Amino acid sequence: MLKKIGEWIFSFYCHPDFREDILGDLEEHYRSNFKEVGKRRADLKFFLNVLLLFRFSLLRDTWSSLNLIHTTMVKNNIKMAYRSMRRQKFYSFLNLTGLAIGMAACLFIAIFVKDELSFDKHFEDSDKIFRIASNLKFGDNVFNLSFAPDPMAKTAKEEFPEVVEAARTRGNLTQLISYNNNYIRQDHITWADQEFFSIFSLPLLRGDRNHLLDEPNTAVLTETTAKKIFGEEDPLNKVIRVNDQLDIKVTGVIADIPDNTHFDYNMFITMLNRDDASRNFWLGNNFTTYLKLNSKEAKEVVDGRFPAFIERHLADQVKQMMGVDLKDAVASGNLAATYFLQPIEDIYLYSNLDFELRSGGSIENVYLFSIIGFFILLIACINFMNMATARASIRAKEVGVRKVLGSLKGQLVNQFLTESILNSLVSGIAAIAIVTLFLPFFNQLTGKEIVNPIFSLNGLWPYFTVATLIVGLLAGVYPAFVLSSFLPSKVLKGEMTQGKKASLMRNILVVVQFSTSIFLIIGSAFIYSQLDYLQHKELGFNKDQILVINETQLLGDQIQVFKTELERSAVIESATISDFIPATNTYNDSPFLSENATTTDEAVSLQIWYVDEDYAKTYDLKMADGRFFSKEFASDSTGMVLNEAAIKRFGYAENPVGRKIKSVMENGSTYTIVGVAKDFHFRSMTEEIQPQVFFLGNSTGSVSVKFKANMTSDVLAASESIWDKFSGGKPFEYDFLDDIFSNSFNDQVRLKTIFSVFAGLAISIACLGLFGLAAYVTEQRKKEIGIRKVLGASMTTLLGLLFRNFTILILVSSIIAIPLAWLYMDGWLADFPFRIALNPFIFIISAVGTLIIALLTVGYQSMRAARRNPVENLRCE
Amino acid sequence: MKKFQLGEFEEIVLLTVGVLYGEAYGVAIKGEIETRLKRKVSVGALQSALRRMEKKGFLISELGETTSERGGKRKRYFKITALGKKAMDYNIETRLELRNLIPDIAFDFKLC
Repeated sequence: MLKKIGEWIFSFYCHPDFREDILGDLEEHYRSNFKEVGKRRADLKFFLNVLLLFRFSLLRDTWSSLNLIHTTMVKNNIKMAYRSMRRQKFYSFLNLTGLAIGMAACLFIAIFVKDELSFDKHFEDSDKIFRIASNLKFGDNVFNLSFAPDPMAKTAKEEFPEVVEAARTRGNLTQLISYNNNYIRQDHITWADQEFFSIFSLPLLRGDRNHLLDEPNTAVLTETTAKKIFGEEDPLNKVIRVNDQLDIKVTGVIADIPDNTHFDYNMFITMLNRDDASRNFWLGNNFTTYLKLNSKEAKEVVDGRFPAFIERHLADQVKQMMGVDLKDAVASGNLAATYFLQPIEDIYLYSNLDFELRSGGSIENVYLFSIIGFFILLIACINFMNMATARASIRAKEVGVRKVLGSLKGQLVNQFLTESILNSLVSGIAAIAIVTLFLPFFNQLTGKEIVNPIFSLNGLWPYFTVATLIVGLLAGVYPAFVLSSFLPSKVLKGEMTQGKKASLMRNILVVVQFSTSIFLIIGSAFIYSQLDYLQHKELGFNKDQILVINETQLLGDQIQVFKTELERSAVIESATISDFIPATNTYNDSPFLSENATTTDEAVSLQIWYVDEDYAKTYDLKMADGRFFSKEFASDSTGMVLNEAAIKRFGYAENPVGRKIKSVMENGSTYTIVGVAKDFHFRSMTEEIQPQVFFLGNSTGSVSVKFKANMTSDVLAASESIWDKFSGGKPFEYDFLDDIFSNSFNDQVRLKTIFSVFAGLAISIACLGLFGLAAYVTEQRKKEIGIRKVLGASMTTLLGLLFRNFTILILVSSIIAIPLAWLYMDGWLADFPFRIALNPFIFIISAVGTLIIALLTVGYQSMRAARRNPVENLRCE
Repeated sequence: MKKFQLGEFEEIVLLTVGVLYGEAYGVAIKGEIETRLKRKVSVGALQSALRRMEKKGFLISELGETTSERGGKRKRYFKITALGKKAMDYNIETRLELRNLIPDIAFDFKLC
């Protein structure tokens, strides 16, 4: 086989005169080798010899003396292209800059999109790993969770033959870790099953993969975390202390989890340390559950098995806890529990459930940015086309002479294509330089950690090279055909009338450019004002001048004394003990019933916040009715404060204060409403305000402090010194509420920045093109302007004349862009429960703004032409 | 002289073609060099050296008879031309000349 291929290859490249005898020699060698070392080695040797025979002196004529491509012509074309670029320095500069910026923008988008698409694909068998997600319905409350009940993983593995491995994680917390009395606040801590590390091929640096989390009080750290806690020490089998309570042994160190993963844990504590992990409770959904299946296709099978499986396991507990029959409840539509699998590769971009471990990715953004990238490149290509056809009259004589001297149309097309490919290659190199230069800013903007995106092993360079050539071809093909089709007889006589067709085409291209620009400008204007609206909307609570002190549970019983000390400080107005901080995505809900409800179907799910009496005072919460908790009323321990949304849901329209609410859990305890708080945005601004309830309660995780204006550093010093009195050396951890608040807008701020950067780029590239075009048009009409001026035309008339054409183009662009932008922004805004109206003013401003920018671009050229002495314009040399 | 330029390997091939007079074809030349000089010769290097020298005019070649042993393919026999002999002699002479010009003292290794 190998020998046959070898012979075939050799005959292909060898000079026919030598073929016979060399092949004979090879055959002879082959036969003697065959005897000595056997067929396989002989075959191999034969093939190697064929490869080694590929020498210049043995090649066919076509290869050695004749050229497949006419290098001389190519060389000549490149030389011509270079000369024409040099001769027209100004236009070449406009062309190259526009194209380079456009390509750089496109490259950035490609880098972004590639990274977004790479999420979770780096795991071995990533296509066989799935997460269980659920759609739950309980009365009026609908949940779409990325969680499953605690027995799900184990039972699924036992009952589904398709499941190879199942594992759970729970929680993503920040805890205080200490080693040798050094305290570190460690974020992204989770509890995980041992099997987690069999499902996810996370590279293990230290430890035994089969015995990482299979004993109580064990933990696995990532490399960075281990370094942070232990420095250069070997972390294996060392004991660390969590929250000053629990001693756990480090059993393994894994490499840092790649940034393109949907979870970003730094530390895994064994699930065996959680009592709730083995309660066999099917009605609570708290565990992120991963299944590894034996094949990708088994997903449908498993999805199909879920309904029967759920009924089998849930029915008893539903009956027992809620007193209803599962089948009946499902049939009446009051209860629903559907579970399904999500491929982990799709989680980041497609899944948008409650409590996603990582937000930010969305396939819509990937599409949107790809489209924007395409259009920016298109704008840059159009510049090139327009400039090339507009300047055709300059090249027309050259084309005429070449044709007379015998150039074929094809050769001229080749020449112009070479020119545009050369342009795009130069721009491509410039684009790479720009990307390299701006990569740090890009990483900062997108929150990614990308290094060397182009020339790394699986970088973008092959795509980029091909794309550069394609851009060169696409941008060049239209001008090449226009320019090469000139008739020499006409051109050389000087009858250089560029038909209406060419200028119509040019106008259409300009309209495409400016429609895109206007669309992007409107888009960024809307994103900007929506964000501004959210950030400055009345929140219903005070977010400024609030300091949140964390980890206060470490103070134990002394927390009350700590709070009193704080309140005594001169710079502090009030303090409150509560884990529940507005604008953080705390989630703690439970169903409640109104006093005259008869069945659990009428339950309303309330967000439960445990607070102390000073909560409303510290956060400036307003009361709509009744009062907030007070020390003066001992009965407040069974009292509750609801927000307006909750009151509305319970239907307590009149005199809610004093009425009662029943809990579905806790054996139906009853609470009395003591007050109604005005709705405030206690979670993200991008969500509807949900029904909420305050209880007096013990939640000692943080203390919030309201301080006097402009006392930021004083309050820090004061609180820290008080903290030090009680804490016994534990670190003082704090956040400012306004920082927490502005961080919750990171995703939107990012989108805004990206949109405005690209809108800026689009309009500048389009204006570069317009500038060149205007220069050309005024140059062409300079005689006309001269004559008009001699005949008494004023400056304004002349400027109006020159502006008219461009103004019409921009207006047409606006008419195209505005409805499209309207549609798109309408869809975008619909995702926000609190949103601005589609203000026509913004559309008009954007269009007028673009017009002004365009006229300013054109204005310089037009002014110059209109002010010039007509003698200069009219003189014939 | 430029026109007698011979590489080291070319010179060996040229000499061997002479040695094997009448029997000088690819496989034989390769075998001869390998046994006499105890060095490995690749088919590619040998063939390209042969064709190069033929082009320079140091060798001529003709196709021989068909043998079944080679899958019915003919052998190409090489012969040295007069120009080839001149080039060969020129090379050997110039080297000898240079060798004889080395003063005895250069070989007095005790001095080193």
